[in-house]
Amino acid sequence: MTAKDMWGDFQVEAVRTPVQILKEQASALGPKTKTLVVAEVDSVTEMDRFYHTLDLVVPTLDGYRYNLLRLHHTIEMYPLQLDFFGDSLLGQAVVSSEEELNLALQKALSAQKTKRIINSLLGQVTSIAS
Amino acid sequence: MPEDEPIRQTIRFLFWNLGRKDLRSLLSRVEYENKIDILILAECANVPSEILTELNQNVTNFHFPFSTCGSIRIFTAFPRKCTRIIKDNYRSTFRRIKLPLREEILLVSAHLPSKLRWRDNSQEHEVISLADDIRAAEKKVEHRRTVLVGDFNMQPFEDGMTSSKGLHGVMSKQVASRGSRIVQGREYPFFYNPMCGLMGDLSEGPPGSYYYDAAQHVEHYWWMFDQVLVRPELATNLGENRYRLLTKIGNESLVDGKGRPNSQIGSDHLPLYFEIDF
Repeated sequence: MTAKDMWGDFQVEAVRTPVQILKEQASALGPKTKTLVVAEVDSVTEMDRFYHTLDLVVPTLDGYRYNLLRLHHTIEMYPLQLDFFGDSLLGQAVVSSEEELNLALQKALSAQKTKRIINSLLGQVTSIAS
Repeated sequence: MPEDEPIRQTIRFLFWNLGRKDLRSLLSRVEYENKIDILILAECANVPSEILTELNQNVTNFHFPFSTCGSIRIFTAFPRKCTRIIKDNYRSTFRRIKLPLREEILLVSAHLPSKLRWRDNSQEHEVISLADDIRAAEKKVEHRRTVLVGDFNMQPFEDGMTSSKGLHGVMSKQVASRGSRIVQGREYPFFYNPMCGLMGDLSEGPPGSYYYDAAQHVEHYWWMFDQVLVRPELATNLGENRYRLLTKIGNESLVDGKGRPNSQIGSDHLPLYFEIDF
């Protein structure tokens, strides 16, 4: 006798996950810096949380990495927490939707602190080359 | 095409020993003309950021996957995450190249010591270490889709390039298709080395990649130092007439009136272009 399938039916919904949004933003940095400074996303899971970190990477400076920000969430994805780092934790935001995540990311990625960090990395690459 | 068969794509490679010259504008033009996907440089005087800035002047395509190999610089026209370093030595680098939906390849590039400073038998001993490292890397990645390219500072027919203990390169695709051979109970995989076909006056291009004229009894004059070899698994992917030495970039000739590399314009080595489908 075949066992009764007690599972419901599944439909793969076209959901833009937080990590997908983060990766889209990461891939937008390289063309703006001639790939001298690029952004990379790494993901890990710990206990019941998913952690996605965005690093600024300078391949020509021995692969130097700077951890700019981190998203973390449970299986539900929202609400999630965005941690924005400078030399230390500069800000935290709890966002509860894709729209709020877009706004929070825009704020962090275009912050004066972020611009200063990227300019500093570009400056160091250029001064080593000259 | 069967559903489980990977999609094939032509990947264009260029290897060039720049002879420590600043040839950025030529690099940018050769990349544009030939739509290079993987640019491999030896004796590169420029720091990687200078090359990247030049290559990405108009369109940002190229990436520099960081490596500790001091002799070889590799720039790729696909994201850094498609390249993973297996091993870096001072004179050689071992990379996994995995493009979406394509079979992975192992790319090994090397610049071996010059005959100006090393005796032939020292070169042969050095190449044995390289061959050992290649076999170890193949074991690690669990395949032999290996592309080996570089300036070996040896002719394709020298012992280091042909010996079973060395790179075990053979000039015939048919012989290479045997895969490996057993010598004294030990198995050694072949490399297919197509570069013999580019040597001498009957080849369409120059007789070699480097010219040297010394007042001594034995002198070859033309040397094919710059070579690409592939394992038999990739021999059919390296199509006929899809590897050649370049003698011209745009309107700029890289050779002088006698057809020898003109280091006033380019390098004392000619660039090696090749395509592989994978």
